[in-house]
Amino acid sequence: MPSTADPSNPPVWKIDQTFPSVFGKASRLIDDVLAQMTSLGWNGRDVFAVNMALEESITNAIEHGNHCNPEKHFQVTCTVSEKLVFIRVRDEGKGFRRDLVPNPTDDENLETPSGRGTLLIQGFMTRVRYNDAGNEITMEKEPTPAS
Amino acid sequence: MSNAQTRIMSHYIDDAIVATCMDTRLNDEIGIQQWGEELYALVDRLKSKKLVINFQNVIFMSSSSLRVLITVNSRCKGKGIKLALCGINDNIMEAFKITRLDSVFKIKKGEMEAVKSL
Repeated sequence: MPSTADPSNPPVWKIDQTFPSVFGKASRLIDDVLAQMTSLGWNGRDVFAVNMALEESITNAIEHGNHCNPEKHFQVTCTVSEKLVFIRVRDEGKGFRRDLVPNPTDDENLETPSGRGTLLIQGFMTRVRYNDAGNEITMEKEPTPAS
Repeated sequence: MSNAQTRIMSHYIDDAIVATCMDTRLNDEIGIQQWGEELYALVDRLKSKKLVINFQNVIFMSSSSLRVLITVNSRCKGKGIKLALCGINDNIMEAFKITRLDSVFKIKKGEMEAVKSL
């Protein structure tokens, strides 16, 4: 359940939930995270970025990590403050090596249909890292300075 | 996303078909699959050689919807149909730039500009 985890400065909203590997099961969590960001004054561009990161990382966990097996689960942990959004998504898969995924921005891959999820996460978030096993992604977003 | 059969509304401008996406969020896998099937069917039966896809209602697109667009582009090429996109908001445009798909698709601001570009 969402909670106000840190009453000191800055206030941090936290959510930590586990879902079966079924598309749409985490929709409410995504809505809650985005609503918290909006209520804390994050701009629409950053809310969109976090929306993208959540959608893509959860899709990867379900599709590539757990192979859409509803018996397998994925865990999403998020904290939201005025200065940082932290997201961690972990699945039960064997993990992957990002360096082995073809770069979809290479000329020869530009019109290949798949493989853009991790690229979008990297592009929209401030920091992205994977655990050694490759079945857990950690993402952070800092507010984009006003232009 | 909305119900099936309402994901695309099409109309003619001159000799081009403009297909307007009716969903505001192209994010759930099943809905994207249905949206893709509608687009593929439209391309298959298209008599015109010019197609514009209008995203003026869309505020969010995931990579799965980009995948559909790449397939639509490929099918259009196979049938000799010229394709342009329009009505893409700044956030979604950023996704096109990150993935370099802005260099694959002809992207214009509005419908008329997109039609005239074909």
